[in-house]
Amino acid sequence: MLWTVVQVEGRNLLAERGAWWLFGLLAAFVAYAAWSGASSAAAHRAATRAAVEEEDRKLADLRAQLAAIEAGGPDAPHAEDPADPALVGAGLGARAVALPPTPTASIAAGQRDAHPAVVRLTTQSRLAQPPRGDVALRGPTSQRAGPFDLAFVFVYLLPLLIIALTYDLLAGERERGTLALVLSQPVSLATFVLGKSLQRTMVVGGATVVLAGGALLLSADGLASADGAVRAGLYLAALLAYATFWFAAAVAINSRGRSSAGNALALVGLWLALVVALPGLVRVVVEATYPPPSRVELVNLARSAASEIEEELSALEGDHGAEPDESPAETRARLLATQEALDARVRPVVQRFREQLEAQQRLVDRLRFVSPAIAVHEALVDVAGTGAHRQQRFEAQVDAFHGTWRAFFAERVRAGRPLASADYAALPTFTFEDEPTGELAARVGLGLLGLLVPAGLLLAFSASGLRRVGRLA
Amino acid sequence: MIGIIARKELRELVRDGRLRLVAALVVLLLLASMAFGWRQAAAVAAEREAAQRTADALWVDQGDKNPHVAAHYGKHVFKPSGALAFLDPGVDPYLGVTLELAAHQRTLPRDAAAGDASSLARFGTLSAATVLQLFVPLLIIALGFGAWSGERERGTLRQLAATGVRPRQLLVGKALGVSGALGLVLLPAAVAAGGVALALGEGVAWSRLAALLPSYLAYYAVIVAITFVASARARSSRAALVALVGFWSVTCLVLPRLASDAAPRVAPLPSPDAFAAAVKRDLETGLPGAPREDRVEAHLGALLEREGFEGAENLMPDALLQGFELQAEAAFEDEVFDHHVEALLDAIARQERVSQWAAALSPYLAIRALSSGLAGTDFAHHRAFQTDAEHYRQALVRALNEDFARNAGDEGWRYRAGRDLWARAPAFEHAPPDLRWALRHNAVALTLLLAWLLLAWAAAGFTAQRVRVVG
Repeated sequence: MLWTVVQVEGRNLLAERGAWWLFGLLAAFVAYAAWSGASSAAAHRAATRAAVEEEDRKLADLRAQLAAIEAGGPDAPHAEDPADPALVGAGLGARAVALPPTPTASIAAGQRDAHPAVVRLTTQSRLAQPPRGDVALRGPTSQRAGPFDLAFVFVYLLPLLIIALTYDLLAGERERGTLALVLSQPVSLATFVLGKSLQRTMVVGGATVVLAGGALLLSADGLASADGAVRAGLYLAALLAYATFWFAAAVAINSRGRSSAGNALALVGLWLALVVALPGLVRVVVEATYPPPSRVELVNLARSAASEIEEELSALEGDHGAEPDESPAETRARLLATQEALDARVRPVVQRFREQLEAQQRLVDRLRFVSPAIAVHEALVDVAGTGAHRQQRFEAQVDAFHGTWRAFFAERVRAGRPLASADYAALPTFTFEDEPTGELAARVGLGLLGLLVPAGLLLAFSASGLRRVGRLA
Repeated sequence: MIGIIARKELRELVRDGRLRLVAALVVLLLLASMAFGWRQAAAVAAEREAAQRTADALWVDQGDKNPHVAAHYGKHVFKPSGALAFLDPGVDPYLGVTLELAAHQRTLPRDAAAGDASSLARFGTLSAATVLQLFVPLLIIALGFGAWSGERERGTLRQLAATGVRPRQLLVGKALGVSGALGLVLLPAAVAAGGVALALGEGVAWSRLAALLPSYLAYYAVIVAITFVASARARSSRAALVALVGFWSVTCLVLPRLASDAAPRVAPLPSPDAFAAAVKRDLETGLPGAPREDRVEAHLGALLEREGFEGAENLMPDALLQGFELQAEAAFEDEVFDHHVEALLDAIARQERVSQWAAALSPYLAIRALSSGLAGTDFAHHRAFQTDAEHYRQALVRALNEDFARNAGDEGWRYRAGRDLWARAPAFEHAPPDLRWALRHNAVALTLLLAWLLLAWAAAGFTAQRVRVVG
């Protein structure tokens, strides 16, 4: 019987032109989002690769120069001496490091645009590096609206499609007078509703898997790895769980026995509350609990902590090299020492800063269960590798690497030992260590429970309502 | 007649329990977001003022040193937040705040708040502007989607037609009824906004606050008209509701993101690395067609001529000539910086214009641009701050180099100036531009909003004349 209902409903849906339009629209949005996401992820990938390669090339050039000098060639100009560890460390050579995009980066832009794509490391304190300011890739209004990525289409628009297909699941039949007719047949209301929603769930679920899977196949880069496969699986699971939640919500609201216009209003209201309003409110709560640390204050703290040191720095740079009082070697050792002192003083401030941001994210991790939209969005940015967890992990690893990079040069500056071309081969290199896939899966999986548990509760809640509607019909 | 219709409509809307609930929620959200905005704005203002005081103190207390060394040490300035940021933070969170002013560099503001936001940032902020621009239109839709179709379904439209009421009278009466209900929601918000503005005290531009009011009213009038058109044309209230929610989600959710995708394609920005490399290259060699040596020479010549030293370089004290050379070099560098930075800012401004033109398809985009423009939180205001700061930087560096030139004498680079000189530099003041300037920079958005208003009401009048009385 259930199967008959599903089949009849399937035929009804096929005959409905509006439904075809809706699916066509969704397909168009998904296709555009996949293309747009793929092109911006590819641009990001290319830009970071180019920057990292350019710094690597500069280091290789220095090494070749030094090898030529060692082989008896002419000396390099004093200010460009590739054998001077202080000069090379302070900026002649730099190591560019970047957070490598995941294979599934095209799913969600997340906070990618908010962070510099590439970090250049020298022996200087990261705060004291000549500031370049924020040259963003997009204008502020574009950044504010956010890109049209797959995460947007699924988080915001998929529920609307589900609402459009289900708001008159039961009320429509009652208003047309067909419900009484159906119930006069040997079919229970529960079976009827279950069949109707099962059919729609299958259609929408199938369409989601096909569209989302196709979009990922077209836009991803290197899905064939184990990591890529797990990410792809989690992505599809998250979308299906989200769709399930919205079907459950639609059944629950239909079970109250209101008019179809009332159902539509209630479902749209729910969507508005969960997708548009609550995430904004949660953000307010998060920011009120752990106010984002003030960069403005950080600038001054760093500057006054390091005020004498910075004065020395600008004194060294500002007289344009006129009338040096000391030997260049002494100057460089002193510069290095001042940079280290600056870093030591600023570190606790930066550390507090980091901790605050981590505390924010921990709170977001807990509050994501408040709204399915937050839960699924967090899952998607996690899977895409553009979320806060991966970024914070990267920052911590960059800090650690910066220490290693600096120690390499500091040791040689202090010992007064020039660099040999062989030393260049021993320069520390940076490889980002991604979170173990298991940890990622556990976090995303927990988020999916935040979708499936409310879905189950809603279905349980609708059972009582359905019995009542059955009597009314 | 119109008065009677309006009173009847209003009474009906106020009696609807569900509408009362929704309206109460909107009022609550509005007041809560305004309170949060107030807290935020006060904290930001206090923080930036304190930071500016500290930065000024660091500058004055930097100790004795050569003036040009002081120019390298430089000074930080912090962007004051927009006049009405508590109502509409606009794009401020995406723009830098800290600007380092020092010799030989023109930097861009950094430390945008967006860089430290949690991953929830993609959902947008819940500001009073969000509620006013996104949620109130939904309330209007809920109030008005049944205006015509509901009467038709209940059969009362036929009765009304029989009484000889003109459709236009009905339209105006219904519009007044919806406006009355909306007024009940917006009045507390307007009072609260005035109160917060008063509490925030000086620095609030009342004229801007006053200009926001008619802008939002025009926006709501557009939504009311569109709602009436849909209600009159749709087969049923249900269809009207579906169409209106569809319109809302396309114009408020989909189009902004499409516009955000289109903007960088229409006006691409250089990558940060390409930008830095181009500036570095031109600082070394000069802008195309104007080699570095020629320009520095020209600036030096002009400077010497102005000061009456033309042709007497050999007789001048070394320090004086060096000071002039530093100035000439700075003038050349400023040319290069201005060329590149202004080109970058122009490109960003073009992107912003693309977003404004997209308002031709979405009234939401028109009010979004206009509102942040009036609140002083759009890119144009940000650019005005940057321009002011750059003028200040150039004047500061020039004054320091000049002191070096005039007073160093035989001491040359060993010459030291002190607190007196540092304190003589005026504090950096940035007065936000006035209302007319803000309107001029949002002329596109303003015009498009007015066009929407005219078209939407023309359509509402047209459909009211031809409304089907029976379903």
